[in-house]
Amino acid sequence: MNQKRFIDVVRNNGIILVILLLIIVTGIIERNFLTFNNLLNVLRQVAVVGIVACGMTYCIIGGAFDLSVGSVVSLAGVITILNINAGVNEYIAVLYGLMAGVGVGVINGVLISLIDGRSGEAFIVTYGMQVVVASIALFPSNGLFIAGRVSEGFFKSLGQGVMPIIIFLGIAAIMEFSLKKTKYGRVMCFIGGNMDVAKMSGINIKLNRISYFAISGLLAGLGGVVLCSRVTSSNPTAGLNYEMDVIAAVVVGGTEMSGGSGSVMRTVIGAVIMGVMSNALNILGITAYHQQVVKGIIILIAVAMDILNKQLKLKEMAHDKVFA
Amino acid sequence: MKKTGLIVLMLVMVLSVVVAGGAKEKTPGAKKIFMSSAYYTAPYGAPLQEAVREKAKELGYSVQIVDGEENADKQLSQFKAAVADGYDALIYWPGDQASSPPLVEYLDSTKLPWVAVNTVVDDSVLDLVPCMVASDEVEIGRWLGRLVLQYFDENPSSSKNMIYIEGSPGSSYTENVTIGVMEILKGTDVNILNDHQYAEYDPSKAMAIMEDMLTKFGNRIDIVVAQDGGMFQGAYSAIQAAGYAGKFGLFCQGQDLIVKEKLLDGELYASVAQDPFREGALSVEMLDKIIKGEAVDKWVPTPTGPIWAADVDDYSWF
Repeated sequence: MNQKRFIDVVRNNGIILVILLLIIVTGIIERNFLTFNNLLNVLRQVAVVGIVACGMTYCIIGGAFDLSVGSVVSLAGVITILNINAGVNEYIAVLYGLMAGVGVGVINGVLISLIDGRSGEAFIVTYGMQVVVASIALFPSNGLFIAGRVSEGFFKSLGQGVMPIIIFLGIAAIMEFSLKKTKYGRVMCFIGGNMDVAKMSGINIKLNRISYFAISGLLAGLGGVVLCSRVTSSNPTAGLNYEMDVIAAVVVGGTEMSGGSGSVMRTVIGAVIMGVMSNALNILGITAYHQQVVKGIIILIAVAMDILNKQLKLKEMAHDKVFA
Repeated sequence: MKKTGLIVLMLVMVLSVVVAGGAKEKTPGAKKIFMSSAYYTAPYGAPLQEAVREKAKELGYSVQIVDGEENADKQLSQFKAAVADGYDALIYWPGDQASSPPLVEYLDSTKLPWVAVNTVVDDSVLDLVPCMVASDEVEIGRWLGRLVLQYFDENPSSSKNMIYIEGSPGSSYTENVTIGVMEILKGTDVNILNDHQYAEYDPSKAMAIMEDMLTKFGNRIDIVVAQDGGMFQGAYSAIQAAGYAGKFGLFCQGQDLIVKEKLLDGELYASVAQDPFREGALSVEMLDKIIKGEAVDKWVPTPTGPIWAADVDDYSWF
């Protein structure tokens, strides 16, 4: 490998290399770390954040943010568990949870589209929705922690064994295909890259953007259902600050915050990186205070590398033009 | 422009409906109590606040409870606004011991009747508090420690390895409970594996921690202790999924319904009592006495102690 290629690999996959180093070191220190069971364990742990992050990736690529996802995770969980406890058919109860997510997503999308909002407006609108939905999640449960009266069946299976992993990776694969291989995905990148030009090209911006938020809401709802299934209970504040973990997974994966480009599979990697890091630090016995510092630094490195990459690409393009 | 106006109009309409629906019925001529709750949305907060509302209604007061969001500065502003609005008495649920002094000093300066509830205020301002209704957090920890020792007396084991799942780092409640646990376990051969595992009272975080601990220690674990019922539920889900259910001694603190269920199932060895209903009701009773000029104790402790499966009917559950 020549020097330039090596630098390119490091530049594009720096975070992955850091994590690989962490995996190797942890694997040497703690033999239980590099086992198949622990790998499944990590994937299960990141499945919920990962599912929600897939939806967020579409929003970010499409030039917006969805800060309401954490509250939707809480709301969907509360709705599903309350319905199951009330004797509603499990499939219908799960559907209610998902519909709540889609509903919030559509409202977000319609509001942002109506005001022709960009990422800044989306940030504020979805923040407002986050506050509203977080409060709505408290109403039906009266703010209480609710234990699910279910020990087996469809709902319980969603959070057990490899099912959360299958859901997570399955959704990611479908979304990546849609992003890379369909017109819908190309339009998403176009809108996120330059909304004004996309509008002048005759693309139905509003409908497309509503669909990104609806997908984000749907997946946040699904994340909430899987989360509740895993712990067989719902907590009306379960999704508190989830949006930050989700955005971190997307950014660490390498999707550009400014929109226009990105990859769902990179988000999967981002979510796995965050999960592996937590798992490794826990297994190594690193205290919670230090873990937060490490996580924060990893996110900062990811953002810095994203900016550095962009600057270097611009420099290279300028260089190529001058010497062409 | 028209669309934006339409959105604003719709939002105003929704707001009006919500405000009208959320407005509490007021008793004409009743004295007004204002409460700032640092843990308004926490699972423990809901029953405590409900008990405050019920007891206030029973004693003929109207009550307004607001969310202090664990933010001392916000709570101070809320109390200042309440005093300006003419409230007659105040209830303060501190977010944290360390941040309580400025609030206690302000409440003392208002000369209004007031009480503190749930979270123990800082020692430096304890004298300024007319009445504090709270459980002894360190004692709750001591009880957890005593139960651990009792478990090993009843279930002798060559190893005494314990996983201890705590609440939030930096929270005085979490730290005080831990102080109590350590006080009892100090000098014993109980070994805490991977100390300071904070799940921030979140069942899913407790589950992830437990999964990691099971990966690392597996059947070397003898007992698991969680600082509340929600975290216990998360840890239990991980234990069950990994096929270890029934193999460890499990303990927690709290009176959540999930705790009651697991006690009755025999899956939980014991819990430690902290009753939000009693705490909420007591705070209004003490405030009522202060308003009427009657003498009250400086610290009215909420009873704590072990809850066994046989005793569940003696306690309130939420």
